[in-house]
Amino acid sequence: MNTAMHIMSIQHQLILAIDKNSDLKKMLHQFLSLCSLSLNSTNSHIFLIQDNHNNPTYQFDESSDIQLNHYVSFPMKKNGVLSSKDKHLSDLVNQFFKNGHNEQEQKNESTIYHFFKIGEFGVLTIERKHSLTQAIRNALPPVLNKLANSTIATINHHSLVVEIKMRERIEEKISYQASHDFLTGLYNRMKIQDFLAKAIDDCMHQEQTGAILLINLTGFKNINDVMGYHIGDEVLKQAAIRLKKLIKEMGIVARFDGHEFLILLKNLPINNTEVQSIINRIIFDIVHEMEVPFEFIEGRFSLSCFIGYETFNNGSKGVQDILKNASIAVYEAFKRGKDKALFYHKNMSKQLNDHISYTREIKQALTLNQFELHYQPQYDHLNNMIGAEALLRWKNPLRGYESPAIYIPIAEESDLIMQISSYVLQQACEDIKKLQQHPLPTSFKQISINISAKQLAKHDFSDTIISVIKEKKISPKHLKIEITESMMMGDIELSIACLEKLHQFGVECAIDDFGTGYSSLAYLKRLPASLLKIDRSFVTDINTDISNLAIVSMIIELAKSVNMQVIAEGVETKQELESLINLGCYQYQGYYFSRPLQFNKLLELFEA
Amino acid sequence: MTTASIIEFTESPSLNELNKSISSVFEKGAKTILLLTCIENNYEQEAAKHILERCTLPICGAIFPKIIYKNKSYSQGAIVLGLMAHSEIVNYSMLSDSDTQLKAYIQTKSKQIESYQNFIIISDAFCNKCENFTDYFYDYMGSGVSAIGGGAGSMDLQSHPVIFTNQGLISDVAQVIALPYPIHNGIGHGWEILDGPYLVTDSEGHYVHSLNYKPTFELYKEIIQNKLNSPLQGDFFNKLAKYFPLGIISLDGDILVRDSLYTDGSYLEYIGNVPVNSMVYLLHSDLNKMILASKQTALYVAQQGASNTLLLFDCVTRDLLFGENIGDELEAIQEPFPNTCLVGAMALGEIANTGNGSIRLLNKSTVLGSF
Repeated sequence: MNTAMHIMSIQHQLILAIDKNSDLKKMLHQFLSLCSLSLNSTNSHIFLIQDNHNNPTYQFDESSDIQLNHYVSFPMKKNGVLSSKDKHLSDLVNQFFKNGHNEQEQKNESTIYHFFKIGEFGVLTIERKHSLTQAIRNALPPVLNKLANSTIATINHHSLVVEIKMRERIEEKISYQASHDFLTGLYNRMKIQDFLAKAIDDCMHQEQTGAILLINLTGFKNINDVMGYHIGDEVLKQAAIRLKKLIKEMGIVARFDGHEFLILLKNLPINNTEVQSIINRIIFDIVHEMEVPFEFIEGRFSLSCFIGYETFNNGSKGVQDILKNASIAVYEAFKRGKDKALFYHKNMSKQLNDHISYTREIKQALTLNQFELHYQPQYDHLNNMIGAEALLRWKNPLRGYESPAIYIPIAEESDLIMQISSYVLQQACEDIKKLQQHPLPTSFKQISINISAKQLAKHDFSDTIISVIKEKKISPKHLKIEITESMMMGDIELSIACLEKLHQFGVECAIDDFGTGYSSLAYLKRLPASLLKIDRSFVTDINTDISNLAIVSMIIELAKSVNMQVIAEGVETKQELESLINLGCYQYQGYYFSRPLQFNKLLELFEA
Repeated sequence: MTTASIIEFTESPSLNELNKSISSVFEKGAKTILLLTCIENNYEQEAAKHILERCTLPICGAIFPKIIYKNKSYSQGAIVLGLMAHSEIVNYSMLSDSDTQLKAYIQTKSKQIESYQNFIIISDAFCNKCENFTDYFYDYMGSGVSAIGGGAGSMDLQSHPVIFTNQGLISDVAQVIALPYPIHNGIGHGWEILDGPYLVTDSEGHYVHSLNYKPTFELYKEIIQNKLNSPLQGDFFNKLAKYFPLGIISLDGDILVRDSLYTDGSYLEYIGNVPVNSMVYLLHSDLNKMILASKQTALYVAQQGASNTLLLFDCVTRDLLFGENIGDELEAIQEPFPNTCLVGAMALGEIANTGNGSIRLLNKSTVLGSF
């Protein structure tokens, strides 16, 4: 046998195996498998320095104690034991690595171990039945050099691939985040506008119609307020899934804003009647889907929705026009309440403009001091005035006194309600200060003011009231605040804490319109309120309406059980008064006693 | 000594006789049935399936060109080996998958037998990746395991359903029978270096395109012409190639024989891979040397311990070379085991551990196992 040629052949076979794979483990496994064939090894192993993530590395801190770890073997086991778990083998390899030699032979029982260093970062171990000849060992250094260089190159390649992949993933993530809503995974507002722009373009070039449907979930705020945002988020996710499932390939679903979703329908026919028919079907399905209760471990929540929609089939309307129109339509649908979905009509824009003008007028009225406080006196059964409720009036120079039922809901849509509330508080305290300068009857307790939900939700709500009382130097006992049951649906703990603080300061609290709102009787006991105001709807015709009589009777009983007083609102007839007296209600407010009065008129009552 | 297996033999090619033999070993308490049958039996597929499905014991084994019983080889008939201990049988079917998938597949399938150390491996000789299978199987099971086996199929080089399972006869599979007791094994061939070395300058798996930078066929013809000292005709390959296989020599002097199967006039196709850059030699032998090698193999196996079952996988080309004298080789193998009945098959490629313990596909060799 030609030994020199054989050795050269082995050298070449081994070297050829080294560059065959960019995956380090596969490359080294292939190399070891060839060692079995060409070096007649029984087992062969590669141990490498590895980082904290078990990734091979050739860079390391020379000052620290270097430990080589098993990386790959061929075959994987010896006598049924995985070589990666062979502690004895690992010890032998590490002893060799630390002794400074490049190559070493060691006999252990019936096995000959040949250790070869791979660069300064690894060890190749060949197990054989017999020693390798010196001639073979002399032929191996070029193979080991190549193995070291290729290992370094593969590690570098791998790091580069990992880095590129990571960068790609980050870029993909950024791109995804830029175009998708994080909560629902739907397209976001920005991306749907791109799609809409493209759809408008398509409609211009092809004979087709597009449409957008803006869907506003009603009742959603209550879920957020009562159950918390985590449940609210789950509802939005489920709503998104339902919409996607429903729309499928017909269009694109996006989360537009908060609890508003937008659906872009493309490739609709050019014929208006056909378009309307398609949209009506989709709307019917959406409304139905949204009304199916959302089920969670925490409970079952029912929602409904309002939809505003707009179509386009030429370039006459831009992206913002179409979105604005759909938004106006959904607002109009919401306002009207009876229609779940409305197609945009230009009249809606006019109505909206009117609405905006009206809002502007309210703002102006605040600046021009057109708001006034009128006071409706409250009496006891002996006809003693026990207090008065401050009621806001807007003296419009063109339309006269405007009904609060019109401007308060509008003011509540914006922060104007806060400015109005602030005016009410300031003015009421100012008037109390004036009242305090008069000899008041001993029966007269206080002036009460209505508090808005937005006021109560403010963290500094109680501090604001206390500071105004202090500023005006009035007795806190002369001010009473009225809240409604429904206000207690928000952050109830915060509300209780604020009311408790005011109670400690001396400001009493009444619960207004009792019986009409969300009844959380469990919380009623915890509220530091001293008075329940029976809503006027239960007082009307109480002398003839058995149902109202029963409700009022129940409210009175309830008040007694929680140690609260009751006052009936809207008492207008003597018969109603008598019925209330019979039921045990001894405080009243209503036209039977007095209409709301300007402050001067109220003062006159004391002077009379 | 506990009986490792019971043997039923029939010279009949009929399925009925096979069925009777199966019933017989069943009644004698066998736990697993290993079948070695002949391709010339021409078993009818559906009828065979019916018998195999009905059998309540695990069934394994294959159809070979010939079977071996005592000192004779048979072209028809069947050997039913009733293994007296329950053995695990794993059929590896996804052998056409890519290497990465095949490796993962073999590792997953082999988990159920990973505690075993002794295996009979039978493969459909014409499934593409038989050698990759043995490499991956050995990689997973590790050194220290013991294996014997061979390739099943027909000499017509066409793929047939030749592997026995409880679901019928199937093709394109490798079957592993994991035995709960040790197998003592030995390999031998008797082939020696005639000429070489030659550098494999271009090859791909089984196909050797060039040796010493010359088309393989051209060089191969040239060398044999020189050795025989007479000009060769174009059809020499079919007549003479079986006498002149190639050999890959290991570092420790073992010869891995590679038998040529086909040529297109340029490349030579071998049974088994021939790696590029490896050194190969032209081999030759004669009947005496082959008998001597087989005898040494049998003595080596006999020295390892007493046995109850003697299972031989002998290369079918040895049977061709020996012709009617095949009994001489079989007698030489039987001789050290006077009380044990030799059974086996003439295989298309043999499987066993080589000198370094790795499981390899062999050619023109004798693989003997005793258990």
